[in-house]
Amino acid sequence: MTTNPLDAGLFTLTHEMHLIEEYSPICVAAGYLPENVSQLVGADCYALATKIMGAIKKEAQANFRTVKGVFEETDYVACLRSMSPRELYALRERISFLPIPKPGSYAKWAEAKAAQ
Amino acid sequence: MHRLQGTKQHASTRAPEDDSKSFVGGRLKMPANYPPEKVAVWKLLFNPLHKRNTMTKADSAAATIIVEMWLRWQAVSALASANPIVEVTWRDSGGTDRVKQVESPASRMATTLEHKLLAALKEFSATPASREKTKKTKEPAHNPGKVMTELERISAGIAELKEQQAAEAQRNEERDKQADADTEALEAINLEDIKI
Repeated sequence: MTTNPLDAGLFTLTHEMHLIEEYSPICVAAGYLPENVSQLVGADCYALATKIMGAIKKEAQANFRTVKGVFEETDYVACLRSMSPRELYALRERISFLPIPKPGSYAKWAEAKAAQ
Repeated sequence: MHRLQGTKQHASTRAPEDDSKSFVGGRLKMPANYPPEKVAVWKLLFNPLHKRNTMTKADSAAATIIVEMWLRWQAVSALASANPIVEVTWRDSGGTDRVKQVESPASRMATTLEHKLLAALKEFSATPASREKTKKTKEPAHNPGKVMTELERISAGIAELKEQQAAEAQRNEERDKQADADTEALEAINLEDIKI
């Protein structure tokens, strides 16, 4: 555990950057506009991507799974790209995602949760 | 929607282009290295007009001339109020010297300048009767510029924190060097040399 506030801040920002880089491609592939996705904080990106992945899990695990030795990987982006615009629209309708109403980053959310 | 489907918006639904003939408003440009007395006159004459949004940058040349004229009028007006009437002497055909009182040339000049100044101020709608004559200029187009993405914001934050870390590391290094130098200096002192 780092005690230096600079290190802690850097760790938080890096973690948030990782969340955005990891999960925003899934949101964009699901048909959300890139300019809207680029304004989501890490927690929102993660929440939306989780919803999308949950919605297409069965299809993706059946057809877009790659096995590398003992590891298994599911390519959700490829699965979303294989879907038609109509299907993606229906998916977005089903998810009906709204970002977290409170302004703040994942770090603030995590802080609040830790305080509870 | 059009971008998704690769179509274009129909001309009838497109917002009409701005074809108004009015000019985009702006502020007058004060000449460089303007002396303070001219700046004061400039502010006195044109600051209230700026609030009306009726000016463009191209009106600056006329404004400069008005300021020059105003300063000249102030100088001449001081002379005229000191000597409004002057005595003129001349010799008539009979060889007698005659004297008469006439309006001073400074007063005549001041009057001419006052008329010219009033006419010039009318051009700027700075008189009560001409107040409504100039039209309000067009508002400049709203250009919000590029919106920063969350990723860019985070990257900027990381860069700032890294800079702060580097600065702190440098400060620590300097402090350690200073501490080492102090220790060396203390060790160099031979206690036997100190005589009480």
